[in-house]
Amino acid sequence: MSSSKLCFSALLACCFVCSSAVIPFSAKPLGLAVPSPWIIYTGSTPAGTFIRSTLKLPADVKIDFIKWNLYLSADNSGSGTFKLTALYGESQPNTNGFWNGGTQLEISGKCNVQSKSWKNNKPIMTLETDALQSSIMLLKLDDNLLYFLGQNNDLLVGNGGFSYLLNRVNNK
Amino acid sequence: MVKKKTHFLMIAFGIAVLHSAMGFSQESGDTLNRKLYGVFDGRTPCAELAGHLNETVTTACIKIKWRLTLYEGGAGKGGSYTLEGFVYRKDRIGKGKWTILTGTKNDPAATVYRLDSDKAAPSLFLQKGDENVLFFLDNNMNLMVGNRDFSYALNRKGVEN
Repeated sequence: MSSSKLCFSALLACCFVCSSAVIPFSAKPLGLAVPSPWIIYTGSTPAGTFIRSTLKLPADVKIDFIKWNLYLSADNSGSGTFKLTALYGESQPNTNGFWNGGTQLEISGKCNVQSKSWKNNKPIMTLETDALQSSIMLLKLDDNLLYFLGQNNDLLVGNGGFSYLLNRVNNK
Repeated sequence: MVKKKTHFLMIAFGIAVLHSAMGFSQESGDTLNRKLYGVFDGRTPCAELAGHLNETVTTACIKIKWRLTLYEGGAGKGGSYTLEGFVYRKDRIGKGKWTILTGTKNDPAATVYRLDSDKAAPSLFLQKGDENVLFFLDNNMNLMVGNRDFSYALNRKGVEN
């Protein structure tokens, strides 16, 4: 009798586990002005340890994600200057925004592109300024996509909500 | 008498559940035998992928939350997959086979995972960034470009940094 009860409980547990489902949610998109002649990339990423450290963000502040705008003024080689805004904070549920609008960091500096410097000969863009703990390294997947690199030039890994990818606004 | 009846009901229930589980079937058995390659999660914009999958696009669909589970079928040969999110949920979870291709329009060395559904749904193509990151490709095998809120990438579950 006790083994029957055990079997019954196990079956019930299996039924419960199998019934789990993906929960959908909705959100409102944000607009972005596009000043020319800058090349503009945008995106929302996690705020992992490496990125927080690079941006010198305080460790004791709750940050759910970061919204980026990267403005590049570069010559054909990809070298030139950049302006970067990073809006961060605690996410406001059911929106794509932050509680109290978030906190914005603005930095600018020089950008350089080193060709054939990553696996498969892909170029890496480096954003350099004293305002950062260390340079931001971005893998140029193509003309429209930049991907954040971590230590040892590995791809940073995002989560179920956000990826470490920046998308070109004025697509080429 | 009551004790015997209870015992009988429990056994009957057990048989019914087992039968039901086996009816949903092969898949369960397969899952037990398959070797997990990885679980990848991510959120993408909605409209383009919905259109590609021949699904109705509504203005309310701003994003899609995906979970792709890849199972190995043999060394370097792809295998089977399940895809959850969007219309693929509960009894409509996407299932099929994945194979490995080489090369895209802009990157002849790129590794591409092709997902072929068991149902009559269009194939999906994902470019491998590395072991932990996958990027969606469009019909022309170009990397898809997202927006300020969502990108066309999936991340291996459990290795976020």
